[in-house]
Amino acid sequence: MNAAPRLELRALHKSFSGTSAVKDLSLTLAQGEFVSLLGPSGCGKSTTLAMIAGFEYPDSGDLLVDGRRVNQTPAGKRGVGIVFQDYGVFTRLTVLENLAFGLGAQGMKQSRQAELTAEMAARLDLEALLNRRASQLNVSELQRVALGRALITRPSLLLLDEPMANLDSGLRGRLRGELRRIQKSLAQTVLYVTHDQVEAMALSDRIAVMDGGRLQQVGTPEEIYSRPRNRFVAEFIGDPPINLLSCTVRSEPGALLLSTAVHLNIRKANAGTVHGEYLLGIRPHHVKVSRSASFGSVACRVRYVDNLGPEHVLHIEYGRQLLRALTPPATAAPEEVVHVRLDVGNAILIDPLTNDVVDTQGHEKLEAA
Amino acid sequence: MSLLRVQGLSKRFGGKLALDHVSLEVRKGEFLCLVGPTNAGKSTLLKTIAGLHRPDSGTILLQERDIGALPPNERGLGVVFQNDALFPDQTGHENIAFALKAAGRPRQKIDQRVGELASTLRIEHLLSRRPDTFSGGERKRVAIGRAIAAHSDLLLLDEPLSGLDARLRLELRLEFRQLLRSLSQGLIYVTHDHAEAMSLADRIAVLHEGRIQQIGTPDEIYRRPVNRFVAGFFGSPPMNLLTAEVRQYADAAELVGDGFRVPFPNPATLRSALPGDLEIGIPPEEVRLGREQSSNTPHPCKVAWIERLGSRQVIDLALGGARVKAIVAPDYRVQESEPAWVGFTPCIHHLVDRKTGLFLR
Repeated sequence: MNAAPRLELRALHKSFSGTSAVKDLSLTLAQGEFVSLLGPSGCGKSTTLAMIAGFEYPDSGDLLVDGRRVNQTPAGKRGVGIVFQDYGVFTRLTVLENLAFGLGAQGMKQSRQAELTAEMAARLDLEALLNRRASQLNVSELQRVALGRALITRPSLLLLDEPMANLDSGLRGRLRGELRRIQKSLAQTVLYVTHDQVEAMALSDRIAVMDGGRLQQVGTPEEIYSRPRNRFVAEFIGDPPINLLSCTVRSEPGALLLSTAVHLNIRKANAGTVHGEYLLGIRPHHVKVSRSASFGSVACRVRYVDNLGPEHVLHIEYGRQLLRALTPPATAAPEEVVHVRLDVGNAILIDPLTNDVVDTQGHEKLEAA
Repeated sequence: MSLLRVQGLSKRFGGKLALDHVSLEVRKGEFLCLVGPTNAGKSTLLKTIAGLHRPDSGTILLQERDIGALPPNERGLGVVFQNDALFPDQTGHENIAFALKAAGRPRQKIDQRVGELASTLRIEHLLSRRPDTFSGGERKRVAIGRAIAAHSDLLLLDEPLSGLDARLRLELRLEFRQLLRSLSQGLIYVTHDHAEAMSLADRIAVLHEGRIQQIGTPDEIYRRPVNRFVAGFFGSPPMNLLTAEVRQYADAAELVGDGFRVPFPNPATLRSALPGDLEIGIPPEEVRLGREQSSNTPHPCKVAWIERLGSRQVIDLALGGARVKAIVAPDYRVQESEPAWVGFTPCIHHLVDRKTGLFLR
């Protein structure tokens, strides 16, 4: 067995007419891993995908598939399969013809083609549809045909380029379960490019967050969400977004004392020493809201309420900022005064000058007093 | 008071009925979201109201005045279409001022209005620049400025956030809910995104296959859907629908399905005319999950798949031959393919007639 990683990017660099699109990008995908490349428009993720697929060549750095350097290898000969946005299924061909397409292009014998096609159709639950034209399929079927067509050649790596970007939101939720099930059952290594953090969180073993052509952080969804390395990652991940509150920090033995515009001297267990002005990053579900006062709570007014169905987001007047709190329905109404407590044990501190998260004891959980 | 009233609007393209007797009302000061999947008829309805399509039948009243025969530019509507092409060779200021200039307004009035709008829309920095330097979000805001520059009674927006990054959508959504209300007396906002509609709207009109399925507040739509389509469209994930049949006994009744049996909610309301084949609607946040069997979690199941989404986890459970999705707290410890126990309490408002797809009332 080949022990080399399926994909290895070493210090990739690419610029277009003097502007760097991808800078010093290093990333490794192990066999069977599902990794998302996540970032906003223009972050460099599509350029990265184009280099891996072979549509663009890197200016410098190395690109290895199964340990083999493929920097200049033509697109079709890298062992990399790709599924584009909107799937790119040939609508005038039947499901069978679509599935067999890549095999025919390889010049494989008819009998072997038929064997592999039947096997893939069975795996993807497409057997009943083999003679149907792709134009008659629903979206779930289309996704399976697109995946099957790419998977049938057994690529070392499958690239998925925002395959669900143009679909209705409800449909996306259903399709991603199916995608993950197929990926798992084949132990297929996947790099999934997306700007949608919910999709990346839901699907990935690991997420690589990009911005401005640079990799910002690589980690499991849990790490990226709970222990972001910098302000960009903290703000990009999470819906509703993280709160960033101006905060003065003083150290005392074993603890930090945090003061925001509203809460004074909240104790946060910590052994490091941090002093001065920071941003306190706290997720909306760590803002605790109650109709009755409790130790450490401060009365604040609710400006407005976002109804998300099973949860509500309260937008609470907090000094000159609005604080977002994720609560069960009917926690409070607009204009109501509520009692707010910050669960700072789960909060992060961001240096406003460098935008880096301050490593307070390896991000270990810190306790509120 | 009613700002816009649409009555019995129908529109056919070729053989296909795109709008089927659509009636709806926008009240003064109201933010109405028109939601539905792709091809539901949303854009057709908006274009018909705007005067770009002539309806086969039905009336459109704005402030009780029939505008059905008026050309688009005389209807008193501001419209932002999905592909809001700005004039590429004109600055932000010129784009916004376009309709005012065409109407022959004096220069000073135009500058004043553009200034007001730019400050509300937070696009002052774009006034002297050309659209090719704008970001996606800036483009949308300038397009809105242009659409509403000439005072309009009603603002129509067709998927104004489509084509933008998920992150930017979320930011603009938070911004829009305050901003858009301040710009006109009422508005219709078209989207396919149920979360956007829930968070923005005073009321939601759900359109599917050219027909209005339900109109109501976000809470009504979410808690009391009228049919299977509406229930399946809202929520992420949407309400679970489990097949069940009613078993009636002398003094009790229960609902029995694949892998579960639960007491019938409120047997006093049990009618003999109850359909034999039912579906029980269970919102995912009301599914109880446990590691051990208990009276709260009596039914054995298996964890099929977990989506860890940060502030919550969505757990896909195999219960009998069916799938049930549960929303649980982020710190609940659970592993794929482990056995688990599940429980739920059906609500009398969440029983569906399997044949008609309608919720029982």
